[in-house]
Amino acid sequence: MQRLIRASATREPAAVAVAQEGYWRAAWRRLRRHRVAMTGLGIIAAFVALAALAPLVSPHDPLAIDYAYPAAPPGTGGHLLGTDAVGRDILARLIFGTRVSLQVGVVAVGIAVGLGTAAGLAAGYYGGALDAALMRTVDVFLAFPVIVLAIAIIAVLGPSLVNVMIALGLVAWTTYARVVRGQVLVLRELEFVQAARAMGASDGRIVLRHVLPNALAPVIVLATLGMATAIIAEAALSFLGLGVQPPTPSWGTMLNEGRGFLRTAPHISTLPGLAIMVTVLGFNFLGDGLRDALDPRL
Amino acid sequence: MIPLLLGVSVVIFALIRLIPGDPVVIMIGAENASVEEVARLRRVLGLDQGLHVQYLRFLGRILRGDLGRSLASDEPVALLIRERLPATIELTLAATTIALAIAIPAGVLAAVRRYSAVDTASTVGALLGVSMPNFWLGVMLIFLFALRLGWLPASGRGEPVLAGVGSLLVTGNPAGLATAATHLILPAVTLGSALAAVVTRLMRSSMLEVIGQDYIRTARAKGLRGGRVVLRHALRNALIPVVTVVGLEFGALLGGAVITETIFAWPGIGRLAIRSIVQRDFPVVQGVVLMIAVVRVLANLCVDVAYAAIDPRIRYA
Repeated sequence: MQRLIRASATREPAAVAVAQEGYWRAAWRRLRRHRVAMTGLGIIAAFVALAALAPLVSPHDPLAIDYAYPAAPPGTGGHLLGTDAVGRDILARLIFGTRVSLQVGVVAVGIAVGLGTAAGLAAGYYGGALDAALMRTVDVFLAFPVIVLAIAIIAVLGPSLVNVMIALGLVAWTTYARVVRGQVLVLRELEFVQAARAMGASDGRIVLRHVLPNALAPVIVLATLGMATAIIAEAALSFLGLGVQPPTPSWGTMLNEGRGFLRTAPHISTLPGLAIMVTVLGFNFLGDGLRDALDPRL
Repeated sequence: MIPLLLGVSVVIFALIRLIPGDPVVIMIGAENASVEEVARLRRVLGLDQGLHVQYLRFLGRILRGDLGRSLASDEPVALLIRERLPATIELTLAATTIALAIAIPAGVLAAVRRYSAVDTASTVGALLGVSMPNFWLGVMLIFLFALRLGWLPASGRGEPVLAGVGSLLVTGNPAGLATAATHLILPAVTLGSALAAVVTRLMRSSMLEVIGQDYIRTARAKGLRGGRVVLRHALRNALIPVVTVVGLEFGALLGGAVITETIFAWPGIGRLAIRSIVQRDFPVVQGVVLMIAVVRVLANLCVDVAYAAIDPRIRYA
């Protein structure tokens, strides 16, 4: 396997402010040379394409039941990857399942990044009692294991696709809050921020125009790795029956449905697991590469 | 730590109040919700009083170890948890043991033989371990070792390991320990896989950092053999960050246990939680979540203490 190429340039937040354009372009250049990251990007692009084009590329209707071939092994009766226990085409369900996984990932991470960044900016910039209150809240959230808190929230809200996204978003914001706060604590003391303040810029303008852009690099890395976590967590919740409800195809639900047929039709559970693993690997690859390219200190 | 636990109790308290609509009606189902029944349950749950009164009562109860009663079986929640907690602890400790037994040697070897086939294998293995959903691994292990090969049972718990050890010592009969071990191994591997992956990566990088230090070169220069330098001088220092991570990951392991226990029908608190969610048995869900959070906070405390014990450079005033 191609070894991770260590990015040679370390950077200080101050240097970024001087050469904003150059920093992102240099990061992209480093990323493009990072073979593992590019593999990850390729995997993600392929799954995004599958999700977008699902109705066009799917060989069958994911909900259609083929009564002639229930639990058929791959390659039988015109079903490339076989059928599940009730006779639905597994390839079609995997393709449509991509939509669920990516959608949950994007929305959950979006919620977490939004909440976490806002909290981190506020805590880091204003400090004082607000900072203390927000960071103690983060500590409390971190006392719960991710999946347990997500399960508890879903126990309250009820199992559904939307609630899974909300639960996973509410669970994951703490990481972003901590990291952004740490960045802001450094940035707010730097000269360009002082200069902006001296020129009479409002707090909002300083935070959004000067602080936030310079605090984004670690957020991008964490969000990419967070996609991987969210996709696994959605599958886990659906697997437990607490996520996406049947008959909507979700990889976790499919895996769970196949458990009763392990002896006779192991492919029903095996294939969705592989799909989860490849997608998650893609995001982990890209995340590692982004870390090297954007911020070697992480 | 006390404020943290208070915060945890507020979250747990708030959870049940966040149920959209009338929690009581949702708990017993709209079809059973006669006016008298709703009023009775509301009184039982103390929902007819102000929020601050409710919270203080709730806090007072849990401080006395009273977690309420199960809506499904009317048994005390504390009892339900106490019956199942040993099984969860056994599973989590077994998973940690297996994970460390694999990860520490793998990480050390990868670091010592950097860029070798062993290094590549452990890096790839760790990446797969991080990316593999553990419930899928569990299902695949059942398929292979229980259904195909028939070597190990697919589900359930044998005797408790401690009971097995006890009977082996007292009567010399290893059968109890054998059923305990055979039932334990698949769930423990399933649960421990992610931890093994994380620790392998960490062990490798931590070891590489230590090996580059001057005192390692000094030890080598004194003429110590390579193995002794690695084990006595490098490993002890490289293990320090690993201890931290294992302690922090212990909480994640408890979360993973919820899933693993469900797959393997392991009679622990995780399975209890999932069953209670399905039955809308909120007091039990509350109790289990509280229990897990408290254990996690305590585990983090242990990490801080262990840290000072392992690394004499750290002293707490």
